[in-house]
Amino acid sequence: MNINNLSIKDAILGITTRRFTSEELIGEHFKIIEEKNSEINALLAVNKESALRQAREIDQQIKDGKDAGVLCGVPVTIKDNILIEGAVCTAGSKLLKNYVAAYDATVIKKLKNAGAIIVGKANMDEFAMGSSNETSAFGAVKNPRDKDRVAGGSSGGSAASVAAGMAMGSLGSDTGGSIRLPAGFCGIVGMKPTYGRVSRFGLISMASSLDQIGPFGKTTADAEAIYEIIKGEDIYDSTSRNMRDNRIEIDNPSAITIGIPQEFFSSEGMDVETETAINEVMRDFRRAGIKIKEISLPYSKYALSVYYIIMFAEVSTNLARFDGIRYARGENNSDNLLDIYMSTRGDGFGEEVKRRILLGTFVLSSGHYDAYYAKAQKVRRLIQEDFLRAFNDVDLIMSPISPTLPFKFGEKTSDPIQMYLSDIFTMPVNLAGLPAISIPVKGRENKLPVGFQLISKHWHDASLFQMGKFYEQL
Amino acid sequence: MSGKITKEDIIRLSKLARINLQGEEDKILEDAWRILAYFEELQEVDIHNASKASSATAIINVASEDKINQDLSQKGIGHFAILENGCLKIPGVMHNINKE
Repeated sequence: MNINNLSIKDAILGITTRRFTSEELIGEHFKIIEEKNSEINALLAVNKESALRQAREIDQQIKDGKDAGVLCGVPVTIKDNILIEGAVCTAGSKLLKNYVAAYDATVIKKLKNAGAIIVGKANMDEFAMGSSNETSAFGAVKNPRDKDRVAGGSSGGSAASVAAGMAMGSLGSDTGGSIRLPAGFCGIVGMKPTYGRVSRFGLISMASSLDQIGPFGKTTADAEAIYEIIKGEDIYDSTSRNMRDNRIEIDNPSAITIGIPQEFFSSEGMDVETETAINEVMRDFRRAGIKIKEISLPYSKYALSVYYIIMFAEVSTNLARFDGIRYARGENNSDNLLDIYMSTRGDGFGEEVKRRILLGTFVLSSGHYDAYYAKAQKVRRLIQEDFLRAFNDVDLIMSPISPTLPFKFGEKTSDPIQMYLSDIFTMPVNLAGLPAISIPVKGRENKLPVGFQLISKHWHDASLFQMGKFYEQL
Repeated sequence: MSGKITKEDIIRLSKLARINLQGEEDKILEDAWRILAYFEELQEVDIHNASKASSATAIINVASEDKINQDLSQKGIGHFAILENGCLKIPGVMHNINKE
């Protein structure tokens, strides 16, 4: 059985027509997990027995002629900040190393109902704070395409597990690029839906006005298959909405215009190889008849400052819940409440998390609130309006995922600004709540991957999948 | 935007944020200088006509009936670090001053 180029669609077809069994498919993926995970460190926990048991149940259902679900037997990994009832959920932090989730996130319920099989929990930057997976308390994830380099973050384990063949798909979360950047660095597809398209119930919050759960797949069609299951309104997430899936008319490429933001291409620090690769994608689109038009997003140059001020602020309030009373306690058995708070958080949080909480507390504090937080909220509005204006003239917007190729371990850890700049093209999308997808540039199988980003209008998530599949077939 | 953040500020913030710092004060201070200096770029933006954006998409009011979900309440208890007879156990907040 060769699972290398097996699509989710073909896997389901194979299982339902009994060309192979779900148990065989899961077994093949565990072979790869057992062979590669100790080195790549993509998965923090696996559950082989339970996965194989579920696979046998699916095989039995199919034998009995029953409906086993639209994702029956598909092996997936789940970022370790998404709750699965009864499973440890660490969010990549020492503080939660023994925390067992008490309920299923809505996306997990949906995947389970669809017959998907969860093979493991994926490594991540601590509380999703990082762009390289180097802040995980459980060690960095290695990029399966070059093990001297980072897999990207914060959903690095999710991306690496799919790229290495440990699973056919994965769920990650994206606050400023945390799905799209690791997808780009590992050479797979990752998608951040419109804010509100997918329920966040059961996701350990980082910055609630920016966070969004989304899918990974080896191809656009695979990522889409998972998206179709997880999308939709949820009574447990008041920001989730049921909206019609809007899409563009792909049959007539000459009627489609893709906008290229000039600001993104004039940015300092853009790597030559990345720029060349993106130009090739533009050339492919042009040859297919699609119009390419230069656009301007003048306020996007402030996105990094705006994003970090708002995210720091939301982080400082969201992470207040990890107090040693709920979720998990540290070593401290003091009978003084303040001592428990101080030591649980002091011992449990890593350096990046502490820095963000302290700066969040700072930008929200009296005397600084107007200069930082209130101002950032206003510039956020200007950034949102930039996009809305641009979408009057174009159907989609395209950019690189990151200004650089996947970098080496330790290369950016000493300078937080350098690390933060990895997400310069992805974070404006979260500020505006738009959907976006990361697609690997073709023809780079023997080189380091480069991802390009397509951004769509609110609730036009389906257009991204259409366009991704169109590009893959060019 | 305002005066440079100091080590005393970092110590005060760590108390507000309930985090025991363990010798990281200087490193965090140095990073905070760099990051806050970067944020200075926002000073040049004219925000005269801009309204605040607190969310990514238009907010709609969501209201639902109050219903007790026993199942979820029971599961929620599972989040407590120390559970005793179905209750969350925490150290006393009030102390009997006569005893002390």
